[in-house]
Amino acid sequence: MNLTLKIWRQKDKATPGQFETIEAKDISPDMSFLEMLDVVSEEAQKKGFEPTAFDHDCREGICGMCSLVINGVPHGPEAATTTCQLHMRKFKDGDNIVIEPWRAAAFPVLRDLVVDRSAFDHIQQKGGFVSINTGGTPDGNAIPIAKQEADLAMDAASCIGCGACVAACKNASAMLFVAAKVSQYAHLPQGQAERSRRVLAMVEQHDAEGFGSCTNFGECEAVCPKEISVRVIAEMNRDYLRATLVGTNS
Amino acid sequence: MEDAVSQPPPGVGKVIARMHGSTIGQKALMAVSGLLLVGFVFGHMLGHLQMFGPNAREHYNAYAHFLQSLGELLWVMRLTLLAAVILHIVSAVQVTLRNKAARPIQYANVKWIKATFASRAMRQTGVILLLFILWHLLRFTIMSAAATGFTGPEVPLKPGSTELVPDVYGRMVFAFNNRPGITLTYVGCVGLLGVHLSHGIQSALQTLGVLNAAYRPLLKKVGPALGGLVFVGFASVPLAILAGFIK
Amino acid sequence: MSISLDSKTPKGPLAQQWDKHKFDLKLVNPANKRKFKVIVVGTGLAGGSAAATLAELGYDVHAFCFQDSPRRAHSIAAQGGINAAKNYQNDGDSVYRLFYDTIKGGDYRARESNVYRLAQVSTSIIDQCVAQGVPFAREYGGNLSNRSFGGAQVSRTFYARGQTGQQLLLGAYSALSRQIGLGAVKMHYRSEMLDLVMVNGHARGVVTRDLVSGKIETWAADAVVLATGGYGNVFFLSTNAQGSNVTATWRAHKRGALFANPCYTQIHPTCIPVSGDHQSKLTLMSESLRNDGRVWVPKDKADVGKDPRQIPEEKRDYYLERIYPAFGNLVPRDIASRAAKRMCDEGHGVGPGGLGVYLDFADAIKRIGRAAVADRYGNLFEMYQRITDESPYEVPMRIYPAVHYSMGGLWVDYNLMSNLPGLHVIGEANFSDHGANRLGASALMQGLADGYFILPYTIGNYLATSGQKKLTGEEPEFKAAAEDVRKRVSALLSIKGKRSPTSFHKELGKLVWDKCGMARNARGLQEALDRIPSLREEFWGNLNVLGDGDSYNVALEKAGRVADFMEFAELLCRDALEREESCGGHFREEYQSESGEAERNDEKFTYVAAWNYTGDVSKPELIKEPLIFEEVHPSTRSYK
Repeated sequence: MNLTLKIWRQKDKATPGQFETIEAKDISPDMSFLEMLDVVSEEAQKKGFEPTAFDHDCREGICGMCSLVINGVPHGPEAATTTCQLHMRKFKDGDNIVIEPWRAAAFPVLRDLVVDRSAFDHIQQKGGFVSINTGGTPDGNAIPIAKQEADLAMDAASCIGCGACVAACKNASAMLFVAAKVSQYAHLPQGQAERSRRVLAMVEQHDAEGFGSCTNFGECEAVCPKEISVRVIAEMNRDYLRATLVGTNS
Repeated sequence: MEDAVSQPPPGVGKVIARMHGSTIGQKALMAVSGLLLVGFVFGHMLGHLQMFGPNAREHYNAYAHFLQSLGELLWVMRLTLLAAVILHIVSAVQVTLRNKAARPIQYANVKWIKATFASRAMRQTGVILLLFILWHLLRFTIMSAAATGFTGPEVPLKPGSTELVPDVYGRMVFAFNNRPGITLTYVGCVGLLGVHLSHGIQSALQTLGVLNAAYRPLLKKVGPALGGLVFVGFASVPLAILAGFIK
Repeated sequence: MSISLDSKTPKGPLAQQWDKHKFDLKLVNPANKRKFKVIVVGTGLAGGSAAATLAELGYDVHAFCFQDSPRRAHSIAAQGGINAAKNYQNDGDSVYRLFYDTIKGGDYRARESNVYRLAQVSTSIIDQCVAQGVPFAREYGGNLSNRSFGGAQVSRTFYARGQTGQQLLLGAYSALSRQIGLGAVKMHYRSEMLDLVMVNGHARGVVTRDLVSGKIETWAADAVVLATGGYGNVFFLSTNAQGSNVTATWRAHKRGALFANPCYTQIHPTCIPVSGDHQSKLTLMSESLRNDGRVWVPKDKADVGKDPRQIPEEKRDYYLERIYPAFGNLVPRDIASRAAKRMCDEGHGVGPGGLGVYLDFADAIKRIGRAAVADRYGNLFEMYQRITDESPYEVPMRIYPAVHYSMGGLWVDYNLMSNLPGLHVIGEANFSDHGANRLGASALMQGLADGYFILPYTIGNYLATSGQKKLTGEEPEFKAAAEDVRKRVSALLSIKGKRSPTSFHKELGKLVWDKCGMARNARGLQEALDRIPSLREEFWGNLNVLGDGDSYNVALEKAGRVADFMEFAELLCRDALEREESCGGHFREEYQSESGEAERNDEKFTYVAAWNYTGDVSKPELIKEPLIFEEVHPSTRSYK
């Protein structure tokens, strides 16, 4: 099939970008979306044009590196799917496809469709951990954890840190990302000692990075490739307010 | 977590700094002030619904008289409401400014998947409702009855009573009777109120962390249900007046 | 010059070696630790856990990753689980059994003492990860859940849904993040190591290129740790991430580090087959599918193109059940892979290009019902359908083997230090522990064992005893290495030929897969060895890299990695040619029994083949480290 792509091109952080229209010819429906872009890039290089830069790595939906807002939806039209797992059979011959980078003040564009998501790392560095050193830990079965709680923790922990929640949010809020981490630890006994400090520190960093506030639209959970529920945001809000109003326990 | 949390001033100062200065704090203030206003809206609506039924004029006038007789307490209520409105607006402005800055470059193409019209229109419905409230206060609270053109005489508090009170019932009927333009504007505005609340209530519950796993499915429906109720409750009175059911 | 290898294996009974060795290791005074700077390149399971632990101990750590965050490392893609000899299931597991299984699974080509230590520390890994908040699967009683995996006869595999690698990596990432937040680790994102700097015979630093700005920088330290993963992408198509590459280890090799056993590559039998030339990677599906799926091909070649549902039972060849009646569809990875290849080579393959076999769930659905099948494999079926547009509930899956893991890597001693003093290599990047074949759920175990519990002890011994003076990074050796890197980058940019880096990578990958893939023979390997140098020559004469070196340039990144694969591929084929036996992942067609089973040659090849760079890529020197088995005695692996 043949497609018309409107792709965002931008040289670097400082230079303003613009859309470029590219015709993609002879695209196989069995290609993944990124393989389609590979083919387009190879063709462009033959003609002397620099390939479009886009983030990607594992191409099996788990590393969280791939991004792209495709026709207005982060990771494209298929639910619970990363861009690398989206296949061209979801499109029709002759389609126009607009491809944009994640757009947020906290995620500056580095080149073309590549954005800098280190804001997520900064948030994690403020509290996304249990403060223990290697060694000297009790036996793995020393503290029983109810299966239901372990499952809820795992639901939240499945976040791949791709940033689609930020990209989809009208306010470029990263609440789903932060809350997923907060919720994971809140459901585990190992996370209790620092529960209050963690939520305060991570939200404070979230705000400092320039993300917006949660607007409770639910777009984030709709585009989340791992289908993380906004339940975790409610849990985080409760923890945050409790830590603020009742005081910290650590 | 050694130095992860910055240390704002201790005690109450810390609480205020966090509530006032953080995304979640600001939203929580908006949620609490909003829920307070929702409480008022329901009380107000129940009051108006006394326009229906037998002896509606006496009931309604008595209710209005009761409110007026509260004296200083009435002013406490009014000031609380005023504070809630100001807090609601201030936090809305803060949140809006932050959110605008969070996405300086908009998408060329945006497609909403889950976001309802009500959620996307909060800002617009909020501004219209503010104007509506000002207009409404002007017509029914600030201006005297005479100034609005209502000339009905004072009426007895109860049948046979010698205590005369203003005929607020009559003033209501006067305000909407044969005035389709005003009535429809009013109905339109309470419609927007319903829209605002249909997202606002459940958003507030989510913000305050009430939506846990067990209540979640139920509470998600509460917003739209209450929003609809508010619309029906408020719109029924002026429409009934316009249609001549209430005279 | 010739090098004599000292594995520094401790003496004495296996079970006491590690304890004794830890006691013998010199310690660094706690107050002095912060004066030692350690560079860690790669921040996956091994590098992330090492960087975090070293920083906790007090060292001044600089960590580098080419991805945008340590959380992206390819360790994240491991699905199945992590082994540990906890014996929680009371089914007879022990450190010794895990040791024995790993040695046997590796086809007797690994060091006993390393493997025993791996089995010993495996139990601490689980405790550590639980304490970090890794949400392992639990039983209703609250205890950790286990499953049996990869043909093991005990249930020793711990897991977190199908995302164990992700959860363990995020655990290491959380520990690393904590140290970054505390300022104990300086993290360099989107930074690719392009050279190793040797000063006075010791590894003392690296040269990196900032992938965003193109800036080439030098970093000096007291020791260097490489945790840069495997080289599976030399085959172009593999289950590895797109960015996985050999550059860091290859650059170290060219600075003198020995490359050991490159021919030990693992092929995973249950991957989704290639659908066309556009294919950029192969997707692995968990081996657990073989627990209920039946593997078959049409008996009659004429039936190959038919709808499989129309092929009657008697015209199907359930070849694994036929050839290996005892293990059936559950034979180990290498055996299942080679059998699939044989069927396809004989013309029974199905799907595009005849490169696929059926994995059929029709019987399982009949036996336990569709719902039960969905419960066990629903997410895998979904993934398969997303990629192929076929529903495994209706049509048999098509599978084909794909390159998955590299057991070979830089040679290291018992202290995980290479032959270059100061250069430590951990995780998939080193050659240790798995021998010629890795067991399922052991890669995660090794990465974390190296990073949390082995390197942090052994590196102290080096730092305490190396006696090297402090460096600033301004020394001539650093300037020269940076200049080499700069020249190389500009060389890649200035060829201005006609072909893209990817087109060369594809051609090289196809060649290596055809000649040095699942099955190898002397003639094919010789052909590859003849062809690779001329392909490399064409690469350096006809490559086209657009753009410049001072900005984010994806083509340049790729070109540098392909250039190193071009050289590494030759060593891979040479090692495969030199090893005239079949063992584990290395199968030489000349060395098989009449029934097609691998035949080891213990008399001649019970050694580690460590290759030394001599200045000519085509003329490496082979150095042998003999393997001595005192505890277990090599026997033939049989699964019939």
